[in-house]
Amino acid sequence: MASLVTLTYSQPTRNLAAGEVLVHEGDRGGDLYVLESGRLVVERSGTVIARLSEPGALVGEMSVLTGAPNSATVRAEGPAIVRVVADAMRYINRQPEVAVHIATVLAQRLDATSAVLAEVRGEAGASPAEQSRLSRLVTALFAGKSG
Amino acid sequence: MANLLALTTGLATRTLDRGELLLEAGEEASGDMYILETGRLTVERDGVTLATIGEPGALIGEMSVLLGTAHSATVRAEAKSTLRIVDNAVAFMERSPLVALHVATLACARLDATSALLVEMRNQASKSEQGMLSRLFGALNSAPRAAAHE
Repeated sequence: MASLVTLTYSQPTRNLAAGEVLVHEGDRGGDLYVLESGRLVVERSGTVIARLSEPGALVGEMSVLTGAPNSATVRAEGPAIVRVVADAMRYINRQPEVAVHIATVLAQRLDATSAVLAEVRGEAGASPAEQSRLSRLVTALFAGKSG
Repeated sequence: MANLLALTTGLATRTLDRGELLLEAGEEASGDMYILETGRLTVERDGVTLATIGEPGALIGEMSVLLGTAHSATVRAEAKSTLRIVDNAVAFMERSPLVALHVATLACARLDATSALLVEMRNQASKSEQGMLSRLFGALNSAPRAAAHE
C-alpha cells in the first residue's frame, strides 16, 4: 500500500499562512486534506487536542466518513501545505486503496488509545471515580457509544 | 450507507456454539475479518470483558487485519452465533470500496465517541487526572506510522 501523499499525488494543493484556519469546528465537512508539509494544530471546544506534522496526516476524514460537521478546528501553526481532496466521499469510492489506508490510520489511533487505556487501568491507585471514567472510555472506544 | 451484511452477501459463514472461541488474544493475524449475522459475542482482554457485541453487521478482527498485528483481545460466543467470513480481508476491501469505507466509518465512530468523552472529562477533571487524560489524547490523535501491510 503506497502512502497517502503518493496516492493523492494528482490532487491540488493549498498553501496556508501561519495562523490560517483550514477547517472550523461545527462547519459542514466533506473535504479531505492530506498534510504535505508544515504543522497543524487541532482544537476541540477550545482545547488543543493534537498537533500534526507528519506528511500524510489526515484532516477532515471524520466528517467525510460520518457526514457530521467538523468536530474540531484545524489551524496552521506555521506555513503549511495540504493536498485537497474535494468531495472526498466520491473520490474514495473510486479509490478503494485510499479507503483502506484511511481505515488503517484510524485503526492505529484506536490501537494506541486502547493500549494507553489498558496501561492506565493497570496502574495502582486509581480512585473509584477514576475507574468509572475509565470504564466509560472503554465503552466509547470499543462500542462507539459515549453514553 | 448500506449495512455490512448487505455488502457481503454470498460469503461463507461459520457457526459458533455457546462458549466457543472465535479469536484468542496473542494469536497471529490470519488476515480474515468477521461480520456478525446472529448471536452475541464477548470481547475480553486480560480476563476482563471489555464489550459485548450483539448487533447484526458488527465487525470483528478488523484491527488485526488492518494493522497486521496479533489479536489483542479474545472473542467468544456468549450464545450460539453465526458469522460471515471475509477471507483475505485487505484484498477484499481493495476490491470493494464500500466495505472499506464502512470499516473506516466504524473505526471513526469509535474514535469520535472517545474523543468527545475525553474533552468532556478534561473540562471536569482534577489536576491529578490531567496527566492521564493528556496521555489518552496523545494516543487518540497519534500520527500515522507505516502500516504493516504497506
